[in-house]
Amino acid sequence: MIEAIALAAGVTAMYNARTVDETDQRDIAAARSGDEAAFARLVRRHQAAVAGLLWRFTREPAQLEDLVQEVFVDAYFGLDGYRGAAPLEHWLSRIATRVGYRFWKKRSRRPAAVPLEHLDPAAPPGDVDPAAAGALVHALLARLPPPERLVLVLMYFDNCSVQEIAGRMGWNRAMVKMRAYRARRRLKAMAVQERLLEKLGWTS
Amino acid sequence: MDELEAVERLVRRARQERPSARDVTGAVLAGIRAGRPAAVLSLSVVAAVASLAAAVVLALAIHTLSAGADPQAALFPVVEVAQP
Repeated sequence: MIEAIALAAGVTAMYNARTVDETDQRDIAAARSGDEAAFARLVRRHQAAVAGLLWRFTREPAQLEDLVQEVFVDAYFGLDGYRGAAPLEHWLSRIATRVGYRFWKKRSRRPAAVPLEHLDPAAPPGDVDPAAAGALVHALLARLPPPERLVLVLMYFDNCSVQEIAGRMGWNRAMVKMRAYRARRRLKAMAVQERLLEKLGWTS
Repeated sequence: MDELEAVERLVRRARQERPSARDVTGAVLAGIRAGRPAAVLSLSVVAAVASLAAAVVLALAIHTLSAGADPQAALFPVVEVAQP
């Protein structure tokens, strides 16, 4: 009985995750006919999630705001292309990924210093400060070429599968797999070079 | 634990981070009122110019084909003169 209820709850949750929110539907329809207030409501509802995704692309607050803004402006002008087959946040995350990737490609890649000073070497892996961990991972990933960096960011932070990344970026699956393999190899080499385990105090 | 596993553990912690982003609604609406993004505009301009150029080339080609003389046509008057 409990299993049946849990299964039903799971199916409902999955169903909810795959359908378009009614409020979003109404606001999308209104925004399509030029209602700016309706689009403003959509921005307010989804901007935190978009900012969360784009935080993996830049950790500078001013740039983050610019990118979030760019996503919603692109979304507004592409609203006719949204068919409503998946929730709006899925569609926005695709736009955000492309905006973030374009941002990386425009910027020259500079080797950033890996900020280890904010990490407490005595802290066990589960107790590391999330912001310090985020800054460190960001600095490491920033040394990868943009295509490889993107694959790892989507896998690590968005839980994307190879197929999802391929679909989101219009790449083929073999290419995504190859980029993931190369990215991991490079990442490991960098972590070894930085003597990451030793500096974190995680050697056992 | 190897280095890659350490990075993955850091990623799990980093996932719990929540950025404090400001409300961008006003800036988004201003961006929308300012018009389409530059990239989209420039693509439209390129597409329009390319279409216009293609139309001009097509018109010229049709005109040349219909008005131009057949290189073999010069042979026929000679044949006509020779027959009587």
